[in-house]
Amino acid sequence: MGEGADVRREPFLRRVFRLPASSARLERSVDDELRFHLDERVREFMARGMTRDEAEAEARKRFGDYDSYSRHTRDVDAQTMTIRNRIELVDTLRREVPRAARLLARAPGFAAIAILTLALGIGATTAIYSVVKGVLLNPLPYPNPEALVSVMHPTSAPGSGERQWGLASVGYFHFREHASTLEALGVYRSGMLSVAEPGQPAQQVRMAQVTASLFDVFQARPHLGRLVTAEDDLPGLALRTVVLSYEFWRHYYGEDPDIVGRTIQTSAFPLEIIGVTQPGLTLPRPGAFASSADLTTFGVDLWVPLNLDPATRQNNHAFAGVGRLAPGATADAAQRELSTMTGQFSALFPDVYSQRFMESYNFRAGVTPLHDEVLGPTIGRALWILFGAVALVLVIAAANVANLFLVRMEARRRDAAVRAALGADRRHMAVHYLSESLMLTLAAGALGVVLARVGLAAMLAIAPRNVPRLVGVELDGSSLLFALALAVVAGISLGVMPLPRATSVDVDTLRDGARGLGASRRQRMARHALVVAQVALAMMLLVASGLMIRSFMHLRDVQPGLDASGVLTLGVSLPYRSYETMEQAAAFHREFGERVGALPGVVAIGASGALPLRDYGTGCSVVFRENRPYASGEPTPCVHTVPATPGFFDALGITVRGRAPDWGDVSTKTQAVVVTEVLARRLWPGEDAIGKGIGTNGPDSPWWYRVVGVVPELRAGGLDQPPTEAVFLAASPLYPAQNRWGMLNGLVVAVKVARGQPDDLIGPIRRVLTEMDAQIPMVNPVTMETVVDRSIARTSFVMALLSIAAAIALLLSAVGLYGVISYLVAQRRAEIGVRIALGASVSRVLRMVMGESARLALLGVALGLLGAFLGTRLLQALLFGVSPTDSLVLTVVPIVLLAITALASFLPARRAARLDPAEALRNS
Amino acid sequence: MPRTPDLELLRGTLDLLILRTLAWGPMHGLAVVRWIEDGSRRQLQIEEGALYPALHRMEQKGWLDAEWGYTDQNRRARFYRLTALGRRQLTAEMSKWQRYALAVGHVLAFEGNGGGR
Repeated sequence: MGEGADVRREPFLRRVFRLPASSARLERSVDDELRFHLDERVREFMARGMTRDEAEAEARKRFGDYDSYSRHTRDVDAQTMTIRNRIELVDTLRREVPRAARLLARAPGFAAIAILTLALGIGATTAIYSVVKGVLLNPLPYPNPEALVSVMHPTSAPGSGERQWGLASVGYFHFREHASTLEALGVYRSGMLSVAEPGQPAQQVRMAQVTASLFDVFQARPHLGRLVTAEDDLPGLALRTVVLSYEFWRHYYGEDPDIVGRTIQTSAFPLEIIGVTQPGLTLPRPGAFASSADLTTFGVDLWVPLNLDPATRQNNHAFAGVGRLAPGATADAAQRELSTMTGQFSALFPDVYSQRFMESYNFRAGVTPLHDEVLGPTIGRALWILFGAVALVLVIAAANVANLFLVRMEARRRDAAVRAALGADRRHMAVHYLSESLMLTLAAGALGVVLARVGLAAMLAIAPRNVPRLVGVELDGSSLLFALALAVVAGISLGVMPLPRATSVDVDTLRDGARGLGASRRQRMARHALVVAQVALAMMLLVASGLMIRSFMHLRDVQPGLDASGVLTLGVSLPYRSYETMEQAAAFHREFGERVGALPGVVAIGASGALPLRDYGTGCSVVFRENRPYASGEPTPCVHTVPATPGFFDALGITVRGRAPDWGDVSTKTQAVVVTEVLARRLWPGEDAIGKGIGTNGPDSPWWYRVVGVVPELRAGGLDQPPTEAVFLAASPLYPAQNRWGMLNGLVVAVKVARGQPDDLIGPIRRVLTEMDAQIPMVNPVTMETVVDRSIARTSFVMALLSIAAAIALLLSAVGLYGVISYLVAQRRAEIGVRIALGASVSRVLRMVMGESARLALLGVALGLLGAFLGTRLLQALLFGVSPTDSLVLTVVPIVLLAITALASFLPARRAARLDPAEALRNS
Repeated sequence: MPRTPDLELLRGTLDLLILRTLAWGPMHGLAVVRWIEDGSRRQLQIEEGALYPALHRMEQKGWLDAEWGYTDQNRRARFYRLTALGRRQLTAEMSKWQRYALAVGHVLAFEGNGGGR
């Protein structure tokens, strides 16, 4: 290559891809050519007797516009260059791709291992990427979603911790009227309703009660008819009209185009259908009192006007608020404005918000971007951690493949040097290596997509139910692009790796056989660095998964205060039309309990308004003590008040000190209730709670419940939560008005069986239900053990995925180390042979080889410990009962890792020790 | 004094002239110009600079090969040579041109039925 001196100064990429020679060079060449023409002409004219000036003028005149012609010529040349490069590239590809394929086919083991290893990494990363994208990155499904904010009332009171309350109607109307940072503000609550069209089985549907303004916030459109308008939403028109969701309209009414104007029979009231929403319209999350179990996007079947009355002044914070920021306003600005406005509540509405209330609850306004609020604080972090973990696995996998490439390259150095010496140019070599590596990585990418699809399905099956937006996650076009990009990046990195050396003619390689030591040392360093990095990354992943496993075990060890074994739970929703009073509902449950209790194997049955470990959300009600009003400054307890029918505690195995109410209490209205120990201690410190009066109707009410039993400990809010403060209310009304609240219309029934699968009861119980009243749907039957598992699903999910990632990382690093040590042994056959010939013992050779491996592993472990120390802090929020620097994990993991790396190096070391010196020396 | 050229080159004929000229053997650009001047008895007027974009375009099309060489006076110049493809192109263009010239000649000589109707 004559222009070698020039070329070496060109930058690497240009050298590799041989980008068009500099335009300066083209220019110079054209200039020389035209200049020759002019000079020759001048000479010719002068020979004919012109002066130099005349000759030059004549030559220029004949030539025409020099600049323009030379520019045109250069343009043509540049174009020629591009065309030639393209043709040449196609030629080279046509030649080198089949060649690379042939070479790979000759090394099927190498190809298979490289493809499989990378496919694992690409598959895992793509699967988690799909989740990250679907859950975290995709915008909310509303127009201009970045302007949407959640408007709530954060509170904190001693004992009940930080809680998110919804808006009350007073605050809603005040904010809507006066907040200048909000263009629109809407509130809603969500719930279930059963629909019972004549002649059809009753069906449980999801209902949202919304203000008309909510549709302005969502910028939603009707598909048919109209959405809830301000006229529909006037006070006094409650439960008259309904807007169907597009999806409900489709599957329930088969897209009936004449639906508007008809009525739908619900368990509460017949509702007039006024419209159908656009497809896909949904609530960003359920209402303010949603349980922690279903904080997912809340699909809606029926949209019903909320009909709030500005005249109603109630301090019940039941409504989730969503606002749309005014143009130019930020969430921070809205936060400031609403904070100021909330601060004035006790001055503006003294009858609703007393100064004491504001202080004891630390009652304030909370405006957060809706996207953040929907995701919550921990989910994003957990997903990014998992994404980081699989990215590390991918790096480890890529390092392994890089190692394989380095070894393969070493073996082919001679071949490459011969080709280079015979004049194969850089481009051919580059195309050759790139086509080989890209063929491998694209195959790995394709296999990775298959793995990702399988992995994603498995992951969604075990994912916690409370991850929002998980429902829509799938392997979509962007996931495929992601996998393709990973494959291409990996292919190019692996393909250019051998280039800088392979392209310079390596005369040494040709001269002294296969041992050009300079390059070889550099490669050995590279291989060792890769192995050290692998071990370090594997170490970090192992520590992370170790911490999650410990957290999971701690969680499993927590005593929730109930016995989930053999318990089936199911929702029973009584239509308001036929079960208008608490007496009617209680009578139903009494009979239902007797009938189900008579089924074979059933030992206990009871119902409650909320299921522990699932339904204990953020809502609470203020409770009062009989004869002992709260002193000023004493925080008013806001706790769960949950109706429970007799038998409920037995069915769930919840211990009660004292006694639990029975049906006698219900029928004679003794108002016997049970409280939890933590609440008892707060309300009556140092005294026995049994016999005390507790109420929900204000401090001066004449009506009080009577405490007859105390639950020593119950963690209903979650195994990682403190014991729950709760009152289990009697199944009879405390005061006349309460009778019509529908407190017992939606209960969860728990059935305990003595033996066998609780699931087997679903059929018989459904028959009992249908016999009693065909209008009552059975909702979501599920075993209590499943409920418990789901309550710690976040921990088990992160644990499972991190453990899988760590296991793959461990395996890949072991394989990587094995490969490097094997190669080392193969390379030093001769030297080892000499040592054995000179009398080195088997154990000495073993020690030598394994010592080499141990050095690398130790270095990796040390770096990994450092990395784990820095990295596991991120896990903190997901850990339970274990610190990020847990000494057990930080001791066991390095030992395991070192043991496995020792094992990985033992096999090649033993091979080295068993070398036949004579043969080793002969073959080298 | 040379006669002043007074015929402007018809569009598209420059390629043909270059091909025809180079059919005599490899030449540099100026030699091509001189050849055309002499061949046309100095009646064809070419802006000499226009030759070069044309030469390079024909090189791009593969009709010409080019390489740097030395003139008789030992000056460095870029020489063009007709390729096999260029030769085929020349044959095709020449026959086209001849048909064209003939057709134009026929029209010019045509007397018809005396015009009118």
